[in-house]
Amino acid sequence: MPVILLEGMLLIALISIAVSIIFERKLLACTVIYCAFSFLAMLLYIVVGAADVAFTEAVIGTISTVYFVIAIKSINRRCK
Amino acid sequence: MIVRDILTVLFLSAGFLSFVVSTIGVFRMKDFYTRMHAACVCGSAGLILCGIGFFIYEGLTITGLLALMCACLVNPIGTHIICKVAYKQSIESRKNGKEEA
Amino acid sequence: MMDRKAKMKTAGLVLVILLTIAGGLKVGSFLPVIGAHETPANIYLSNYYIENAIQHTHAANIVTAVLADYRGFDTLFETCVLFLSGVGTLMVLFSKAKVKRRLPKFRKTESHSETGEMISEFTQRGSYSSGILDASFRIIMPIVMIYAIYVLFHGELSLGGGFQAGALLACAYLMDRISPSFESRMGEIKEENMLIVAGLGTFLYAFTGILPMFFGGNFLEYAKLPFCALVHGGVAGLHAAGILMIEIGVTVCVMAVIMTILEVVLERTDFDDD
Repeated sequence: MPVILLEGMLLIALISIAVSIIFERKLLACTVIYCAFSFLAMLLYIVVGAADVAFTEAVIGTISTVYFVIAIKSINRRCK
Repeated sequence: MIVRDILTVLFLSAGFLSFVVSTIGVFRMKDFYTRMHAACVCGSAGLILCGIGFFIYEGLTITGLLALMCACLVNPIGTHIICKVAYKQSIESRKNGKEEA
Repeated sequence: MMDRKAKMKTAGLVLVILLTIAGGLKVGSFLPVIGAHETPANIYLSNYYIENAIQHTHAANIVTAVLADYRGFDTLFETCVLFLSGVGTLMVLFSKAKVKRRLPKFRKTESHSETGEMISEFTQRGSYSSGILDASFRIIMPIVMIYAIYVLFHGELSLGGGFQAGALLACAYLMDRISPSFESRMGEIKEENMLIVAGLGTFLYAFTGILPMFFGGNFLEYAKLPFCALVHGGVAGLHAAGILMIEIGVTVCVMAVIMTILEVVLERTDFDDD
């Protein structure tokens, strides 16, 4: 019973973060929220028992956040 | 043991309270540098308190000690880098001029 | 916030998505439930892997055994796709002009030493533009690299494997690359050379597959690798040696591809700071 509660809370948080990414205007803020989304997905993978996937998600999450920031910076900040 | 359980709950709730204080500070502060300060200081304090609560419950483990040391090392370094880059880009304090982002 | 037209469009889009999901759930209810016990994958395959993986491969981590031994063919083409993504990035961005890099200026602090200014310049200036970065990167970067090699070699016993190790090695390089520094870096890489290294990693994986074919086995059949004198444990030891070889190939490929894409984009980007 407590594990289902933990999974339920994590899933509701994931959905609300995804919805807030859609409605956010500034692109750099979207990148930071995406990094938080990746972190919560990693927690969900730990709770359901897939530890290898959680490790990979943690490392790839940081690298992909850096890629997104570099990509946003390289379009000359026209879309802020 | 009942003393160990009470102490664990005490330290974990103190750590959780510290995280709540840090989040409230990030939302309520109006200046960039004070926001970073709230996030880093209270965040690191919360990490240490939760770590101590973990050690009381499980005993001192090498991996726990290493993880706590890494977290205490990396958190302030990251905050310092962000604030230094912001200072170089002339993000001013609120009392000097208009605040950016 | 949003004007009325944008709000109506967003609401309509959300409604369409919800209706599609509801319709799909209603129509697709004849499909089996995810994770049910009666599917053939759970009856035959899962039990076979769980019972036989440890004695076939001497790998306590069944996930690595399945990924690298029972399903090694799929992992080979995952690595190929990674390599192709690096090639594609370089091909698309090759003709964009590189940006001339300007090094930041070093402002001397106001402290005088008795023997002159030469001493103060060399003892007070580190590689990075901040003393904290200097002191901390000397500690953090070697630890990250050693941890990456540890994760690679212990992928058969605990969490880890090739992909995580390669990404961690690329993280250690990334930390140095995106920090502003005073002098040009010692370990500058060219993206063409890094792509060749990625190709070598993929080739190592494919070579481990072709090598048993010279000694009478099938493609990627680790039992016919010619290392009988070097490993102990018989056939299971040969399986473990094959897994280690392909994990090293995957690590090299992942690390090189991440570094390549980073260099390709960063060389052609003009940041408006420093």
